[in-house]
Parts: sequence; C-alpha cells; structure tokens
Amino acid sequence: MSTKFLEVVNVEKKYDKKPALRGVNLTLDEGKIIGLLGVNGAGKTTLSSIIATVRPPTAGDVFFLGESIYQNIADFRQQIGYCPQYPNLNNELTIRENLEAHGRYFGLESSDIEGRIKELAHKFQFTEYLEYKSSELSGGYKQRVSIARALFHRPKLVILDEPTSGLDPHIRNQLWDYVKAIKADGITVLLTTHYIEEAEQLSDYVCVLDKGLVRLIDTPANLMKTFKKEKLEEVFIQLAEEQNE
Amino acid sequence: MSRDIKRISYVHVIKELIKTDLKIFRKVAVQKWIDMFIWITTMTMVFAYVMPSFGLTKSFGAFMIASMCSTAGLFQAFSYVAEMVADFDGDKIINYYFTLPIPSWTIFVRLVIYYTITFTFLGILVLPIGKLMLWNTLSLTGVHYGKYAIIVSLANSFYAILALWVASFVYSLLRLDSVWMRVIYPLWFLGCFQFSWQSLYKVAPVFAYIDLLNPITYVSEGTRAAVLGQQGSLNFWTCVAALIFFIGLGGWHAISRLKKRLDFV
Repeated sequence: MSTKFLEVVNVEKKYDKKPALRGVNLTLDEGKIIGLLGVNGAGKTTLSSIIATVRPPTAGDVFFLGESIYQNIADFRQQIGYCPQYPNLNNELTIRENLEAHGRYFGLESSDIEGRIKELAHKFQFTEYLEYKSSELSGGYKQRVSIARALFHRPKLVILDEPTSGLDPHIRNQLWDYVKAIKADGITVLLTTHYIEEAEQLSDYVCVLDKGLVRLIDTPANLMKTFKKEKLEEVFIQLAEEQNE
Repeated sequence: MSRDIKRISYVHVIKELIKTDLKIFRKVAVQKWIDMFIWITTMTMVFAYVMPSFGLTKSFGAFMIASMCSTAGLFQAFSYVAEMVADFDGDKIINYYFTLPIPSWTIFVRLVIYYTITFTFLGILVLPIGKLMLWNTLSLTGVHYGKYAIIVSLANSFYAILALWVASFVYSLLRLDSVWMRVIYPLWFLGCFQFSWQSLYKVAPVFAYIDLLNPITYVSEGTRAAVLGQQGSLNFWTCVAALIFFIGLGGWHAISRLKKRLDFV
C-alpha cells in the first residue's frame, strides 16, 4: 500500500468552545493542487493554518508521509512553505534581507541564497523592488514576495491562504500563472480561496468546506458533471441553496 | 516522515534569528545609547550634585550609579512589550516564526537571548559615564567584575522574561500605559533602586519582608554588592539564587500564557 502524501484525520478546532472545524478528513496527493473552497467562516483559514502548524487542532491528527506531523514538527516545517492571507514580512528589512534571512533559517548556503533570490525575483517580477522595505510595496507585490518566500527553501508542500484576496483582477491573473508554475515544478499546493473561478482554473481537486465540515471533494470536471452544471460557480450556488433549505 | 531532507539544528535557526534581530537593532543602537546617556547623566547630576544639598550623603551618587547598572534593561523591556503587543494585534509576524523548522516555544527563547544582549549593550554605558561624572567618589577598582557580569546577565535575562510575561496579558496597545503604571513602575520604585533593603528593614520590617517577593529587590541589591562591595547589601549569592528562581518561574509562566494567547503548537 502506498503512503499518502498528506492526510488530515478527524481534525476539530474550537475557539473558546465555538467550533470552527468539526471533524475534517482530507487527503492531499503529491504534485497536485487542491483548492479549499467555502464561504467566509467555513473554516478554510483555520484548516490551512493547522496544516501549516501555526495553530494546533483541538482534536484529530495530520499525517505527512504516514507519520504524525506533531512527532517531529521541525522536520515537517522544513518541508512546507506557508503564505498567509495577509503578508507578514518584516517591515524593518528590505525584500532582499527578508529572503536572505529566510534562506539562512532553512540552512541554505550563501551562494544558493543569492541564486534563489535572483531566480524567484525574476519569476515573480519584483527584481526592481529587492532593495525596498516591504512597507513601501503595494499589496500585490507584498503577496508576490510572500509566495516567493514560501517557495524559497524548495518545500514539497506549499500552503497558499487566499493569495489573491483583495487584489486587482490583472494581478490575480498573474498570480494564477505563478501557482501553475509552482505545480509544474512538482510541488503540491493547498490553495485556500473563496473565488470559485480561481479554484476552477487552478485546482486538480476541489474541497468544499461548509460550517467546519468537508461537504464534498472531487475534480472540478466531475463536480460539474455530477451536478449537471457548466460552471463550478453554479455547483457552488446549488450547494449553498441546499444548505439554506 | 522525512524524504531526503538534511536536518537543520535548532541552534543554527535560533542563532540566525538572533543575527537578524541584531541587524535590525544596529539601526537604532546609537539612538538608544543617546537615550541612555541622557538618563544616566540626568540621574547622576540630580542624585550626586543636587540632592546632597538637601541632606543626602555625597556617596549617594555612587549608590545610584550601582543601582542604574542593571536597570537600563527595564526601560527597554517596556518598548519590547509595545513591539510584541503591536505585532500580536497587527501584522502577526510571530506567525511566520511559527512556521520555521524549530519547536514554537524556542521562538521565545530566542527573544529572551536577544533582549538580554540588547539590555546588556545599553547598560555598558553606566559605569564609564558614572566614573567620569563622579570621579573620586566612585572607585572602579573596587568593582568585583566577575560578580558584576553574573548579576547583570541575570538581571537582564529577568527583564527579558518580564517583557514576555507582560506581553502575554496585555491584549491591546491602549492598555500599555497601565503596564508602566501598574507593573514596571511599582516593581522598580519599590525594588530597592533608591534605597537599600537594610534601610527599608529599619524603617518598616514587615514591608521589607514583603519586598523580598519583588525580583527587582535582588537585582538592585545584587548589583550594588558587586559594584560597591557586600557590606550593606543582601548577600550576593542569595540574590543570584533568587533571580534564577524568578527567571525559571517567570519563563515557564510567560510561555504558558503566550501559548494560550497565541494558540501555537
């Protein structure tokens, strides 16, 4: 039997007794993009922050390559990259310094760090802003740098929490291209979004979260076929209506 | 779990984090030294040259310099509390640190080390400036430098823990002033900064015993024992033992509270 890449098992999360996740089960296949979809408050950010080890679950476990991530959290963290919804770069450092520091934390050699900065700054088109402080950048550029930082140490899994939220449509399109490029490099992506079009464009699998539970998981094509709809958005609307009934 | 990964040592990550912290601190270090210079010279002028005209002994200047050696960190601790609370409430850069390849609690160990280094850096100025201002009334040859290094390190580690502890229960920047008025100011002023524990004991013995619960009492008394000699101060090694106890207890409690507040793994 092959070992699953990442498996979320019966994960629950409560904030002051208020449930945010109520027994989530989910499997991520290696090299695929899984889109976590749901309305505000569905539990997307909570689930992604648990997988990113920023928050602990109240109950349940997360397995990476067959082993609980909590058995050796530092090893797991070495293999993931996390881009939060709101970029949390260090405002006292330039973009170059932010990336250099990140590389050093993950044990990269100086020559490798320099190479990665050039490569990622070129790929995400922020070379001209390398000497700027992050506080001097627009939201779109901060988000690009944030994604680049998540990829800097060559993780096997990247967690992108609403990476295009609040961005202009043309910047969103650019970021979609970047996400596709990440997948092309063989990296597994967990993409949290509330843009259905984004999930449809990018995801191999879509997982719909609703009130802290997984409502369904399938490929966008299968979902449209099952629900006899032409767009994923229509599927989502039908699900929302069923939920309200 | 690992698939072809080269494990990174926790010490390496913490060392690199502290290097980054110090790189940022270097940008403000001169300004901080100017602040310290103003504080030391003002205090020394008042207590060594003005207050004796109101009946204070002339040696009080040296007494105050000795007290100030390990108090510099306390002021900087307040500004670190502000930085932490602002981050917990705002940018949440702390969450980035929780994704680095180290156990989450070690992020706070790194903060304690970094804070201790910067507090020590700021306190370095006190003795040389004090000597320049007091000259004959402060003897640097009488300072026990071994003991001085021990007590200053412990005092600054304690202030670093205090900063974490205070940040763990201040939920808004709006409440930050209360931290100064309710926590730091009483601890400092009642912590034998301007008087010795023995003099307090002569005036109010019950209060003097209660004051033994104040960690800053041991900071002030221990520092004076190292700088001015043991006579007239609490036993130096008692102060060391008490500070180690407060650092251990405070560190454990601060990280427990921060874990609850920040909900980290």
